[in-house]
Amino acid sequence: MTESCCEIRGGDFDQAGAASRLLKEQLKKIGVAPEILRRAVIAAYEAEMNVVIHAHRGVMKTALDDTQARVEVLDEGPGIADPELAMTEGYSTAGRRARQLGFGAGLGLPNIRKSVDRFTIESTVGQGTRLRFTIYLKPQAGGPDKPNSLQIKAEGCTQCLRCIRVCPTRAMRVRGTRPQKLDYLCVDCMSCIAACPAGALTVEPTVGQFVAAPECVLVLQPAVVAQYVPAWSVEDLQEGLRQLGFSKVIVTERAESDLRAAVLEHAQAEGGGPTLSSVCPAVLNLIETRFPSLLRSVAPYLSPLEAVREELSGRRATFVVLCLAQKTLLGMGRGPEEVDAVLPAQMESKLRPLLKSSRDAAAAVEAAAGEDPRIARITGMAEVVRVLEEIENGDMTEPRVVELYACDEGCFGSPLLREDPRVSRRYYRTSTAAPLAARAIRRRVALEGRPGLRLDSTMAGAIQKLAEINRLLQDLPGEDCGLCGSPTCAALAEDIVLGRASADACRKASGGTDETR
Amino acid sequence: MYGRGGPAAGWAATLIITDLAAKIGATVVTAGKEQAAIQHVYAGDRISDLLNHAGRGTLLVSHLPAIQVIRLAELMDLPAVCVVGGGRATAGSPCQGASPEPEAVAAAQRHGTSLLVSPAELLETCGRIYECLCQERLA
Repeated sequence: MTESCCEIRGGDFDQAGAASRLLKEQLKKIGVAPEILRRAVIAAYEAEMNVVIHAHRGVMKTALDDTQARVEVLDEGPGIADPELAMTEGYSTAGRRARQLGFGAGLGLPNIRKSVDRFTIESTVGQGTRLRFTIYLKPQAGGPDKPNSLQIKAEGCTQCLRCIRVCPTRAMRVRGTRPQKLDYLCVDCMSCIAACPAGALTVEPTVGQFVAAPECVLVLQPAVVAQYVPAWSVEDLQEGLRQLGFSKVIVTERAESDLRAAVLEHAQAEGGGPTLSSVCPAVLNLIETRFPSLLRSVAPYLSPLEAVREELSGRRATFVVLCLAQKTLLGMGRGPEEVDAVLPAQMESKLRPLLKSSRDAAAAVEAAAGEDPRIARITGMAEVVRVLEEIENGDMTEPRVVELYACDEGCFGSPLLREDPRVSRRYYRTSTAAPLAARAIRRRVALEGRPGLRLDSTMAGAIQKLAEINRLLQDLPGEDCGLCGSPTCAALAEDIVLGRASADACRKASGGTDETR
Repeated sequence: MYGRGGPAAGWAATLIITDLAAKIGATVVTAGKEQAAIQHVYAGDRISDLLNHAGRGTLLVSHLPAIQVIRLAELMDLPAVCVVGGGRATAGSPCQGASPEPEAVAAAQRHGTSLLVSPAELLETCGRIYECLCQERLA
């Protein structure tokens, strides 16, 4: 890691830009991609100019390592009385001179936030401001390293083989006494968790505790709120959470409706086949793995949870996550200090004792809002795969937008929730809590196909392996019984060729162990 | 606030800076790199807007003092800038006929940025550039 420091003089418009130039030169020397460099320079220049315009003096400190650039801009000056207001586009307290020079448009802080990956601003009126931002220098890598959050318990597996059959990417195997996952194929969809009757599969337990840190924002999704709403009012819920120390609670519903509106707009403008909503991260993982040709049909926006995280950038936040994919997303490329992911059950165990006795449920029921005819909602992984295949084959052209959810009944049907989704979805009233003023946020890093299905890093190697697999397949019975622990005969042939299973794993194959017994 | 123009949407035309200057009647104060080509044009008087729209091959057109725009061009690696009102104007009081400050010229030379000064107002300058781009596209 290398650190550097550059002073900034308040009011000195002639020398302004020097600190940003220094950062730019450094980033160029370590070979940062042009688009990332551009974002870094925009943010640095805006931050530097803020010091020149508003403060007496300041300093820009940068720390570079091979994954990120951390920039800190400290100043001695008047400070910012209302940081939230200062983040509003068009709000500026710049003086006449700065405005004559083209500054003070009130776009500086919003511009920084748009350009960077992490952003924090702290200010004391009369003393100064400390602005920090981080830019990740490498776009999140695709490929075999894509993380997932599926955890396999040491005990409990009854070898019922349900998980291997239900997995949409054939990532599960049952060998010995417990399931195994192929990390490069797992898309975090929870189909296996939902299918497992023994509870041997779960979410990786490295989630935070449901504890309120000071200033911590709690982020709830509608499906989480719906677990409580029929029996308790939202006010009861907020009161209980306040007792636990969460004074600020955000429901992500607004981010969902903003995304829906943006996707519809995008779909109208694009024309062509259906546009796929980016609402469900597990479905996006699936598309990256199994349907890379459909990636260009995916609307270029962040999922609601990512959008909310972006909005809260730099503030401490606890997210109650509903699935593996959300948990993985929150953990990706982030410092551990800002975001906690907890499971609905963790929240429930603490919150429920604090809630007043439950009320008459019937009073709270309200009909769900009418569905938009331009949007087709597809839920459940089996349906999702079927529809994606149809779209890929060009058989489905009609709905403008297709919203695909990995879980049955969408997020309300997450296996991590207790209430039946058909019930909780009906009980959930829209706009129950203060919505977040989020707009759909465009992705900076495009989705990328995963090499999950490729057999070898070179095409020649892959062709050779494919030939071996085809030869092996002729000897396998083709019943896809799963008794060998692989989901299909084709998967077993692949496992054998890739060294993941022994050549005599099939008990039914001619010459297999069964017949010699 | 003076007129602001959006990026030249849909213009795929690539212009050579000296050709452009001749066609729009602008003075080439520093020639910058020869053959530097322009792929986009953006006009505005707010630094934040200019920053946001500055990309590869962008020509910025602005009323702002030349030194501000040149500095921005240097940061964002832009091939050329065109200032109107002589490059010394301050918002609200354009002063025609003046030439850019020596510091601005020196900075442009140092970094190899083409600095054009248009005798016309922002709107007219943009109009002339627009015409050039349209002709280029037809050609």
